[in-house]
Parts: sequence; structure tokens; C-alpha cells
Amino acid sequence: MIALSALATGVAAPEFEAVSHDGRKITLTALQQQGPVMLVFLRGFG
Amino acid sequence: MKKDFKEFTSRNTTIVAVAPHTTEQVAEYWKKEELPMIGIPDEDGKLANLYGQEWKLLKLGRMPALFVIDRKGALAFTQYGTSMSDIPDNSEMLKVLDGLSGL
Repeated sequence: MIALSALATGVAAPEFEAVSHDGRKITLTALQQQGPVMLVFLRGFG
Repeated sequence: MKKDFKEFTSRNTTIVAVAPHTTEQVAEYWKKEELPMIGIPDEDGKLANLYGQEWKLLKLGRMPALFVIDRKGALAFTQYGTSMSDIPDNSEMLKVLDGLSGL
């Protein structure tokens, strides 16, 4: 079921709103106004 | 990615890294490693689930995933890693971004 939710190239990226590590409000819409966005999901650290 | 950060920013690209940890853990790690990109804590996995980041039970957790989103909000590149180290080279990503010029 999780694999079925994978996103394909060409489709609209899901909009999101989040708070960054330094307390800034981040939205995809605002970021993409500035140029391309590279969104990297980490496995984790530590 | 850290070492080529200027190559990405010279292409007007914003890098956002999503980590499955608390705000405190991410803030501490970003400070320790002096990471220049935006870090987003995603302890509950809400954002990871939205983008379909895969879980592999046998590999004990999340696999890396990477997306490039163009100015119009479309996914120009997607990669779901199949192993812990399955991450595209920076040179490959810079080529993708060069292909977006003018979009």
C-alpha cells in the first residue's frame, strides 16, 4: 500500500507546510517561487 | 550535497532535507555539521508519507528519496532509494536542474 503511493515524474508535487529546524515557516508554494526545489528525504542520522 | 551547495544555489535551487527526527535533534545535527540547507523535522512521518517515502522492514526503516520540483510545482525528477546508500550523484542532479532552465 505504501509503494502504491509513490509519486511519478510529471505530476504535481504535494503542497506542504512545515516548520524548519530554525523555526521558519516553510511552504512549497513559497519555495518554488524562487526557483526549483530539491526535496531530500533522509533515512535518518545518529 | 553540502560540498556542492553553491553549485545548486547558483541554479536558484533551494535544497530542503527532511529528517525523521525531532526539531531539537535536527537543529543540533544541523549546527554540528554546519549544514547550509533547510532542515525539516518530520518525527511523525507526515511529510514522508505524503511523498511516499518507503519503509523496508527488513532494512529497519526508511529508504532515502529525492525529488526535484520545478517552478510550476511539477515533479521533474523522482527517485525512491532501494537501499540506504541509493542516492543520485550531485552531478546527475545538477544536469536535471540544468534541464529546467527557463521553466
